[in-house]
Amino acid sequence: MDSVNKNLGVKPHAFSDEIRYKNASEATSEELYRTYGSSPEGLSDEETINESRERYGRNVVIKSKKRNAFWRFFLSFVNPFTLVLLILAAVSFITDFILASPSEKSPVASIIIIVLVLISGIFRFIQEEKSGKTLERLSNLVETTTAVTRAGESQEIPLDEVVVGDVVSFAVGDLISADVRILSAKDFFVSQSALSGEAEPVEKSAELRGNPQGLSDRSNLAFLGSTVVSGSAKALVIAVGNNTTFGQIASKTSSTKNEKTAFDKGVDSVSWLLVRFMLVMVPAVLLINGFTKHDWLQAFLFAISVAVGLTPEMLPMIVTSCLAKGAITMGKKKVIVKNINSIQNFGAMDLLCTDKTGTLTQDRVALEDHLNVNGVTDYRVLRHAFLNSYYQTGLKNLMDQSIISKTKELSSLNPALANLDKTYTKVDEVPFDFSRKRMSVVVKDASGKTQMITKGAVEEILSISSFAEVGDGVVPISEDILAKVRSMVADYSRRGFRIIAVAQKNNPSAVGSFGPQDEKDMVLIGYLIFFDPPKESTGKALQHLQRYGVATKVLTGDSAEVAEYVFQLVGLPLTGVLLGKDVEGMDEKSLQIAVEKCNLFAKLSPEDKARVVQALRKNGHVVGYMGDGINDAPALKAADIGISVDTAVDIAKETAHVILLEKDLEVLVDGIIEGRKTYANMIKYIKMTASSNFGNIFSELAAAALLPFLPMLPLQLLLLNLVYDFSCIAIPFDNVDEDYLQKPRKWDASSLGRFMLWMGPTSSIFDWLTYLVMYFIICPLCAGGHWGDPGTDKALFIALFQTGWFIESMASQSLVVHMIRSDKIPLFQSRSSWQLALASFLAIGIAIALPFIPGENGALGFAPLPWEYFIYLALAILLYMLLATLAKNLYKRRYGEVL
Amino acid sequence: MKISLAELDWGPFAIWLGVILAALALFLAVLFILAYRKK
Repeated sequence: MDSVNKNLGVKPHAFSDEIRYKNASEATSEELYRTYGSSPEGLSDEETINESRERYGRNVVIKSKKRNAFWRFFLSFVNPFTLVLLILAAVSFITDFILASPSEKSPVASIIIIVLVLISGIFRFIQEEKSGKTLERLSNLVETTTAVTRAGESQEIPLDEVVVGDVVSFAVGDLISADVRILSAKDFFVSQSALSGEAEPVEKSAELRGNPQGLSDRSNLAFLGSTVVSGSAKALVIAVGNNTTFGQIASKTSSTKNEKTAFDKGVDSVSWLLVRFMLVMVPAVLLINGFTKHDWLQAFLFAISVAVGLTPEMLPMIVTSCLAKGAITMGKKKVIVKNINSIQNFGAMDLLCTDKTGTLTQDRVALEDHLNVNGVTDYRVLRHAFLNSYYQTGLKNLMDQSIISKTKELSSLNPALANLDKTYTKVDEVPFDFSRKRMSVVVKDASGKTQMITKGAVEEILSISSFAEVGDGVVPISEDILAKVRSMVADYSRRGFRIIAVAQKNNPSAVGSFGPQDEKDMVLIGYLIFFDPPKESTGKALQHLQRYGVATKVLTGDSAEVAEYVFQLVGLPLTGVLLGKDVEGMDEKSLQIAVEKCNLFAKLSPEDKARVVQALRKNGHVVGYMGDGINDAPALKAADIGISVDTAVDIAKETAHVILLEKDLEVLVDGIIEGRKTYANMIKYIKMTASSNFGNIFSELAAAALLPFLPMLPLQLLLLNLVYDFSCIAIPFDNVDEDYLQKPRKWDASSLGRFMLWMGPTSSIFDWLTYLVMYFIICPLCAGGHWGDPGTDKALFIALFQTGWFIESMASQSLVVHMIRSDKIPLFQSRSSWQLALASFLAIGIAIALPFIPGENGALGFAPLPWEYFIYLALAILLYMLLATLAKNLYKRRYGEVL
Repeated sequence: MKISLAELDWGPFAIWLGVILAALALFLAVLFILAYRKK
């Protein structure tokens, strides 16, 4: 969630709400349960839950009120195109209706213009509604859940179903699902950065500690939008949805500003480039036409129509359509894009950093063995491991799950493993965190003897163990024992096994004062050996990624030996290894050099992972990071594109830009291809629009300077623009050459200017040729003489000329996309999609058909053209395509590729 | 047709066509030079 307020303590709530929070903070748990109609067993039944939902609302934060459909409909008409059309309609109504003589009064032109306004607005509205709904539907596929206790039973429910009075449980990596009062907590640290902007986690507890200044300082209140950094807690929900602190702030902030990505900036730069051209061009056209034709009103209207023609008003819509189309296609391939702008980054990604567990390897970590210090299978080690895994209340990871299921499986064979949950009771625990890399649980047996059991990374356990259980006795850990332990660990690691150590000690501190400081002078009792086999599809998927120009680097918290073994199994050549301690010891510059050489980074802390990703980004890579654990969250945030999976912890899902519904690298390849296709179609539109607009500048300047009349009526120019824009709607559906998809596609604005200069003049040359043919041949033939001849029908001359350029202009604009859409020869080597081909032919067809519609002449100013014109048109189109293809090939020769 | 092909102003047409073709030749020459010039 975005940071919405830097100062939570100020005034997030109304005074009455603040009192309610204070009361909740200061109340005893019994008073709380009474106030909110709950109990330690949670809300009792469906009726109570519904009552609470009716009274306090649903747990949905509406950040800014969505404008109603009518308002959205209105807004789709607010653009320069509509404005100019409305001015034209008004002028036309005044000149053709109000000021016209009674016999010539005709509102047809004004009506046609209004129809154009309606068509363009309605179309824009439909298109934007469709994109919005699709994205909403896709984002609903990714669901975050929270653990609640209802009627004494613990269950996972979607966040939006949480109600006031629910008893919720939190573990590491969870999102705080509502505003809550903590009932019990153990080393519970939360990050409130989404609310307060403060990066440092704060400890929360059941008791109200210190002298709090603001609500966020109250140690027994936790707020929606925070994430659990360590520990565990039980809490009672006191506010949901828009009544929460986060909701109050979010609903008051009309919109949270999204930082512009490189891509957004690129699209903006295109718009501005065209707008700058327009600013130079429009006054020039106005002055030249005004002085040469002496009709300043028409000159003005023509100039603003030129301005509209050059305004890339459809650019945002086409870009959104392309991205929405990409998001839908990705959705079908089980890749859910949370922010559609990430699609472009997907296509640009040239480096994939991935966590090892669950992405390269399978999601089932199997406990292979449980050995004592001598390396012999020992059920005692398993029993201790079970007690630790079973009673710890934090996130039960794959290893915990594996220990629990293995113990239950073996309990029928070994009575010492049976009913452990009944023989032992839990006294206390110290949850896992990434700095200690271990967790401890204190249990008590039937005789009242307490013991602390700690499990974690081998080096971490050795660092807190002073003794080892060897044979039947406990001996101080000697150098010999250490050497033996390390050699055994290295041996298993080389064979791809993951190892964690188990230690214990009797009668630690008294209940309540138990903490990390007790993790010392422990007795090492043995190890647990896990196997985490690579997925069968991993090797192939990595090869695919390589083929599509995406290199893979593995960033893992595991040991280098285990990861190296996985590299061997999946056939990934190892180029170099960098360990967490090396990363920590390096400054930014040395790290930037080192990260290029290595493709395996092992023993990394979450912060190390983020640093590696940042260093790679600084080196110019577009970095994707794929991970699903709490330890992946900083790296997911640091990457250009964070990729997580549906089964990931909340914090990872919340941070990621893209969620894979299937945990498979192959799905990722599909996403990358789709990202590149989306990019190709967008850049196609941008380059095409920029070059044809640039070409039009030359055409219109020449016409203004040399012709005695306007080359096209303002209304015709707008109509041309509208029909052309319609034909562009098919661009998101166009095919993309397989060759183009082989390389990462990074936004590069520098190619746009040169492309425009290179391709733009080709269409100008054919516009000039059309002027020439119309002025000296077609118009005189049909209008009874040359422009200056006394018997010439001047109105017909102008109408024919304007119609001729209208059709030629539409044809050249619509066809240029087929020339530049691929490096190859159009039709023969690379074909457009049927949608694009149909749209182009429809646009040209409409342009040709319009002048022949009976009765439209007065309104649109067209005149039916003779067959000779169409011979010229066919020839001109053919020559234009040849010239455009030649120019394209020369461009390719110089710059390597067209798009 | 209200007038015949012979009545058309072919002279100015040819001159302007020459101008356009010259522009085209110039444009293509620039493209060829840029494309084939050693970078």
